[in-house]
Amino acid sequence: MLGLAVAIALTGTATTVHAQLDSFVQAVRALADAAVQKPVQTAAIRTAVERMGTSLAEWDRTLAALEGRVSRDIAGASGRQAYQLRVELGVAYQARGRTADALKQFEAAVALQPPASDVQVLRALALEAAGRIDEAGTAFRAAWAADSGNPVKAYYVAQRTKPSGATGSDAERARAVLADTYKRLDIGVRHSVAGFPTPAAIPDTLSRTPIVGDSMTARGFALIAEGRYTEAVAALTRQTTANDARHDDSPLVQLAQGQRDEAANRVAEARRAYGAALGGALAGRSVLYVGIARLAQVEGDLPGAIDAFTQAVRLSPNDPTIHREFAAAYVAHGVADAAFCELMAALLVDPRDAQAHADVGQLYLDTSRDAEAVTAFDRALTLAPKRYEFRYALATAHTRLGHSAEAARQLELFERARREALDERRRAIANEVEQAEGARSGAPGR
Amino acid sequence: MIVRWLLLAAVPAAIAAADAPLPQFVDIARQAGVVFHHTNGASADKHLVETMGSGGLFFDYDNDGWIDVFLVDGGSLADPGVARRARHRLFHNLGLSGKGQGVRFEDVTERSGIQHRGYGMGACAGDYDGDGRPDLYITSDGPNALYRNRGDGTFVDVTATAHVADSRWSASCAFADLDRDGDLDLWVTHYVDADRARSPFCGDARSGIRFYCHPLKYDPLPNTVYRNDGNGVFTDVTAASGVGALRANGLGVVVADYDNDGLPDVFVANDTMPNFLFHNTGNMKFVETGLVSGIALAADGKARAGMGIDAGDYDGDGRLDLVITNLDFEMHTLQRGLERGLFGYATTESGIGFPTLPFVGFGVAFLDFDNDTQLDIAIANGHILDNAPLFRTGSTYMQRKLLFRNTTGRRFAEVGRNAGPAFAAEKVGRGLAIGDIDNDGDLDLLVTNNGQDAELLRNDGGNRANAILVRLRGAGRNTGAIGARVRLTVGSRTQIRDIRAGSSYLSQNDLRAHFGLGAAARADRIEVLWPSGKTETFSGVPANQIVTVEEGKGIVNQQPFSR
Repeated sequence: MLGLAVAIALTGTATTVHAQLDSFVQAVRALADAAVQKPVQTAAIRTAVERMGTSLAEWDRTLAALEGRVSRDIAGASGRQAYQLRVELGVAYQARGRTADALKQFEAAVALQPPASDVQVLRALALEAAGRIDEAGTAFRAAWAADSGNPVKAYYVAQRTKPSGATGSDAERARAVLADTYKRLDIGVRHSVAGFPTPAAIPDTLSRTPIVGDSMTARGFALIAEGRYTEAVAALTRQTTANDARHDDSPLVQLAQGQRDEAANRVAEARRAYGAALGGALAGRSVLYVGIARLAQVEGDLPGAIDAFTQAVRLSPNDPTIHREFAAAYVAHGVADAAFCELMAALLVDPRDAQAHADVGQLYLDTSRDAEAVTAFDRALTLAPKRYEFRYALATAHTRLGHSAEAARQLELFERARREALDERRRAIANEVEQAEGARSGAPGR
Repeated sequence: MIVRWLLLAAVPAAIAAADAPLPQFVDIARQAGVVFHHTNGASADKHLVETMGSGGLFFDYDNDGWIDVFLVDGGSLADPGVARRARHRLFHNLGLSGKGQGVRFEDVTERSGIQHRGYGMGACAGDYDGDGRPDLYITSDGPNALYRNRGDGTFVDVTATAHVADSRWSASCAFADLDRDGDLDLWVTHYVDADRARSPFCGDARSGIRFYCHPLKYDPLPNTVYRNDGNGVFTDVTAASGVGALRANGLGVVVADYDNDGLPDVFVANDTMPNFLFHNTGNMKFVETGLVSGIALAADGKARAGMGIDAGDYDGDGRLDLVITNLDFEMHTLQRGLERGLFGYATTESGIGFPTLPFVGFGVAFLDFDNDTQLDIAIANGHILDNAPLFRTGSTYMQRKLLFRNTTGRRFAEVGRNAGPAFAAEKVGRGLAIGDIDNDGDLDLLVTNNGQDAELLRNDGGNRANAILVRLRGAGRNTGAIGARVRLTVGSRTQIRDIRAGSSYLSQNDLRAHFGLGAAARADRIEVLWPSGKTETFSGVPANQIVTVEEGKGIVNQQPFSR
């Protein structure tokens, strides 16, 4: 429905690779679990690191075997087969953190079967991970040029190839594709196919909360996050056996400090501390980036917020909440078209995200596209009929369109529900007070 | 094409505004003689009123051209001894001292005859009897009071004869000629129906932690509308006007003709309930249109804890916009005026949303504090709960003020931390009023703080750019020209200011209309739309002066700024 062929193709390939990596990933999970225990389970960490080393060696043997097979098979393979072999090997290299090797394979695949749109996406993501942002942008554009109706690729072009708010013709056309996709969106679909590709072996979403290392594990965690697994195992092995005195400025300490600062409204300090915690984060970096982005917004640093959200969606592209929050940051920054792209990203992940539809509607209202706002709010209400608040916005859109009768009807429905909710809240508060007074006087509360 | 050109043209101005030196606000209250400590009567009983007040206002009670200060004191419901010590204060502006020490005030409360009754909340000033002198209405949790200005520095309590006594919990008030009959009527908001003898226990009885109760614990109240009968007597027309049928937790009020139909409409900020827009349909009848107009709720369809409110045209499109202060984690609200009397929720897009998240806002005003021709926003903040950290870790009772600088006409940047130590200081902010206390061409601030000293924040450097102050004198009984609209044009840009007796939170601004002119040496055109319906225009008015305009007589006085 959404034209997510790229996602399907990538997932299919990645699934094979991930199967090979399973034991390594499990070992990393065990490491993460041990690291968050209090007190820190050093023995369990050592065991996990040993498992990582063992599985890494096995992984490398598997990868070497794959390299041998590709080398053997490619000579007599058809163009299509050779293309598939190159892609498979490239994906395997990328998962292993061998970005340069992966890029060679992707480029070879592109040469074999141009324009190889899906592979260009993989190549772009690899380039992006390597910090080669301009080249990544070119690759995203190449991917989209060959598959211009694909909204996922359109999203990449709209959001990743230009600074936010740019009006380059590619970005404009990509945004038009997303707008058209929204018009044709089928909210009857239970869930999208696969959302955005995430080629990393150790996903940032390994944990819902940030896994941040202390002085013993932070360096290793950082190396894992960078895909430098061999170095990570070496560093962790060294650190877990060194019995060094713990430094109290480790990323884990910074994380705790940041949480305290945030709770105490010390916004700038919390932001700095979370930034420092990133340096030792194994997973959940997107959560830290979201925290930094929120704090930046409170500080009025909207460019800082957008930078942080950009990192967050790269690390966790299939989290609709982050895309929605990112959209709100763009709205606050006065970049409505970029906000729309992020909302579309949320809907590419989950077309039945009622809040995202309501946010699209609000964006349309803000930009005086009232008829389109009606469509969006109608969708939001279809998906979440109990969210009576959406009716208020829907009524607003109808009012602006001069649809007085429909606006009045929606407002009446809204008001009825709102009053009921208010009465319920009043009763709850009254009940709380009654209980408190009962407890205070020794009499049983109701 | 023209739109694109305008956008491009706006960019250098925006950059210039963002880069311009920031005026510094200095608290001169004590050195200027405005010594006032608010009595909040904070008690173990946690009467809600203890944390809600009180306000203050600028008004030139003696018409000498120097705005005076009136500060409302609270009181105590729990301790009669404390209640007896509470005292409203009137400070007479003596003007600039000859020794370069700046503006000086004298406490003239004792001889003014103004008494303290009940638990003081807010005040508004307007010449209700048309004798040319602004009178004073004081709201309370308890009996309100109307003081007629005798013109000799004294005031006489005429509450009973004027029939404007009200013993319910009143909050903000505003004088305005609501029925367009030429004299000033009176609007009073009411908060909640709370028992003064006994405060319910809200909190955790086991740990003994007690908080001020949520306003939804109490019954809401309707607003009160008093029609001025022109003979020194008001008639309560709340029911007949259609206003009385609606109850809410009313706090801030601002009167503004948002739809330019010549009839003043009334916006009321309601705490935890939808805000009201009482659309004036004439003959002292109102229809509440908050929901339809878009000002009742935030964009998410949820009511906010509306506290203070102001109206102004911040984006220069000729339509009034609204700013409303709310609770923390709600964002303060900015509503942009659209066509056909509708409003659009502009909180996020304007940039005021996220920076206001941690703050509980009260007093608020649109003002051009740097005279760059764009309306900025000043906000006084302070939590409701004096034990806020027990309610939510990280929350603080005292909070800093916020100053949003208008950078592009549609967007704001928060610069409060850099606007001087006094501005950045954390207080329990409540009322906020704007006015030019020293007649130097930039806007100063009066900020009231719950249980703390009031602040008089002098603006240093705001007058680096040019400005004009316009003082109006109406020809009829509405001598203060309350409800007049002044339009000032320089080049293609027109600014509008309304003359209002009551706004913000429990407060009132200087009645003179202040216009920043930027680098312009003169206003190309000043147009005054009098409440009587007449219009007068003046061309080529030089900058940096106070211009007095009398209805039907034109400019009768021009006084250079004191610099």
